[in-house]
Amino acid sequence: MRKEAKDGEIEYLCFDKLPKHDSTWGLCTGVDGNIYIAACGETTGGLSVFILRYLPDKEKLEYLIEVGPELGEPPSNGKATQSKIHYCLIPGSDGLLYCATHASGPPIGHPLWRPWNTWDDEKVRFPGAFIFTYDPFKNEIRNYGIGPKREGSRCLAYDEKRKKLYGITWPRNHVYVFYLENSKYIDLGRIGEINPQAIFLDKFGNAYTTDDYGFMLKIDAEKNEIKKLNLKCPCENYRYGWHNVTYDVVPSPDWEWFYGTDWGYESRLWRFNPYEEILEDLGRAYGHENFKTDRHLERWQVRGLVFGADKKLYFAMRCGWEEKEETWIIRLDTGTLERERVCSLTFGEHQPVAIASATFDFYGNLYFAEAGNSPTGMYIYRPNYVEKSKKLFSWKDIKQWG
Amino acid sequence: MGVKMENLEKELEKRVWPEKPKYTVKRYIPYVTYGRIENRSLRLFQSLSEPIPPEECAITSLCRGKNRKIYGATSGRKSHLFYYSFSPEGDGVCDIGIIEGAKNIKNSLCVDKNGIIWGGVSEGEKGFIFRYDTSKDFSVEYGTASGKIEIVIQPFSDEFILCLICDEKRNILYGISSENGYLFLYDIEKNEVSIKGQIDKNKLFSPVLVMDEKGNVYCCGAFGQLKKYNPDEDKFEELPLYIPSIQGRSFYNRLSAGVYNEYDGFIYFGTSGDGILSAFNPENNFIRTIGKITAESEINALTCGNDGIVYGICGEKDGMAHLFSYDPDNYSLNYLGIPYATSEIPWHGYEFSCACTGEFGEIYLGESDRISHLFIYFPPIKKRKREIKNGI
Repeated sequence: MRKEAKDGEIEYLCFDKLPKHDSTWGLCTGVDGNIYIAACGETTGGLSVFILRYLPDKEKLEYLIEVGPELGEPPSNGKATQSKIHYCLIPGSDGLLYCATHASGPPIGHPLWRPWNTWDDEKVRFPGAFIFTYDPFKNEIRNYGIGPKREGSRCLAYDEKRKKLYGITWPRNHVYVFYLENSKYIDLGRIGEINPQAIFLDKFGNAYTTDDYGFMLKIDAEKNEIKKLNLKCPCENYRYGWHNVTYDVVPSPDWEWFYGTDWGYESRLWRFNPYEEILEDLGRAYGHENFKTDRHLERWQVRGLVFGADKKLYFAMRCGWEEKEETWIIRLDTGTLERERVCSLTFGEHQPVAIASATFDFYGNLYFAEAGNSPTGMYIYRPNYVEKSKKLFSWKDIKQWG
Repeated sequence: MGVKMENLEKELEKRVWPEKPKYTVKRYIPYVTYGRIENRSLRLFQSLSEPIPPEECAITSLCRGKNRKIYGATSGRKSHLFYYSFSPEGDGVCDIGIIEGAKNIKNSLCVDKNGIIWGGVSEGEKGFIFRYDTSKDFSVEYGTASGKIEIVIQPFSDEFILCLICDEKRNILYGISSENGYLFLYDIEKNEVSIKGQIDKNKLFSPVLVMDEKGNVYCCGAFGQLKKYNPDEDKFEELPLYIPSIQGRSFYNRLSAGVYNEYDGFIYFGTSGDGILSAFNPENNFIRTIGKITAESEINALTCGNDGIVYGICGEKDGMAHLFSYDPDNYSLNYLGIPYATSEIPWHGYEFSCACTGEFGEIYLGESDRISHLFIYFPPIKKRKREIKNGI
């Protein structure tokens, strides 16, 4: 489905061969310029995550592999399934995808599943998040085994120089590192209660995330020590900042700053410079500052941050304080801080429940993954300035975190 | 190699997908809802101070002071001594200070008849006994005060202290040494240490001591055998009794928690190999095996409520903690749930090491994670009906 958008066109692409899968969490651009997608099933029991690929050159979608059976965990085995690759689908310069699985999909035939209720029950608990690489050229998985036992992996970052993964577990919220060369897994311990949805890297390989109140945490690339910085994600002054863990973080085009949003009640944007240790509040992502969003954690949330080739920051957010509620793509000029609406993501009766993440192809088209509807899918924004003969992005622009 | 892409797409078109069942699940909350749970961050009220830092704040010893405050010691990179004041004037935790050179204070905090807190270092540079005078402790709007931690004596030059308890009437401390498993006595007035016996020479002893109301001290040696020190007779003996374990597993079993219940006169034991709760009557040497609460193998801590109900917490390292209770009146072993609170701090408690009971029957649980909190469980107050006799 396609329709006009400001300065371009918007398309909705449905993954209709997976009628029960309900969310696309993992989304990234590979070194080959193709878009890699993790189609997840978190509400229907007995589903495994699938890896898909979208080829921008051909505008074609391919279903590559069903992950669970390849890991020895078929979704019919009665356990909580390997139902997701959350923000843990990371491209490598070697063409591989570096991945970790995540939980919450119920066992087959079950209406729901929670880790707290099944922790000691070997028959139905989640065995743990598998760490693996996927080679899209050979269609092969290399399985490194379970990293965090009984827990999922919510987000991941890949330090390619050190061949090292950083991840955060769910539900116990531990930071872990995994060294690929010797398959060494180290649990760095619990950092909070609310699961950060992003862990990101500076140019030296240090990792960053936040605690429950939005304080930046830095994990030293060499020592693996966790340090709390005296920098806090912004919040309303009557709040403590609880739940302001990192949700989505993208590097600026020059990689000096990181633009982010949190998993809070605020729908706020900020930018962070780890080299000078500065964190700036960019205010409400879009809309009236006085519009209260206290009662709904996710309904108004900002997600799907991505820089376009026009150097503007694009993101998705539900609007609806003066009009019908709809999710819109908004873009922000980071120089003037002006925001403008680009297009709504409504196609007839179809609206996203949420946008999970975003990426770009090398030509400059932007991809926004959907979550909450079955089947799941993604939106493609095609700016008018995009030409198939001209690449505006390359591997150097790709972030290696989810 | 994965299923070929073309084959996969064809197969997906024919696949029969699972359906979501149409019924809803009830009674699915896994948390403690019988009674009330709260927690406190290890910092002054109203966030006046930073909490005791991560990796230094695992609470591994708790005891109730004579001033109603709860005293605790932490383990990790450093050990801190703290008190929790629940006074309406300053409901929070005061970090008294770092215990010099200590990294672990495990089940080694107790109070004497004068209100002095005594502690033993279980790991670190030196295994000394320290004392702390609580008389200066207060926390109110205008300020918070605390005293000084004093190192008293190092009972053994090359050993640490795995457990420390106090006999208030006799004004003595008992402890267990870490390497040789000596049961030792420290006379507070005389400032003297004496060894009363060796619990087990092969290091198969358990790091737990429990005292009954007569001052007899119980400990556990190899294969779960109970041993007793009688201070009146100055006699250390083996008892022909063993803490319960699954058949064939006594070698793996250790006593991990113990508490004397004034209500029924029994000592309650919890074990680490099998996670079994049992009740021991020191009057007639009877042991009742009560049972196992969850699949997790360790009972981390036990304490008794003011109503005689025994409360405990079980769970493993990297596991999930479970709060339970045992009512000696009806022999009912009850699973209460996973400790989860949103006040003061929204937090699931996954790992605990110790517990004690407050003045008014509230149960304190010491979390022992990388970031830790003091959890407080308020057992429910049962409705009662008064019997009217002769119109009164």
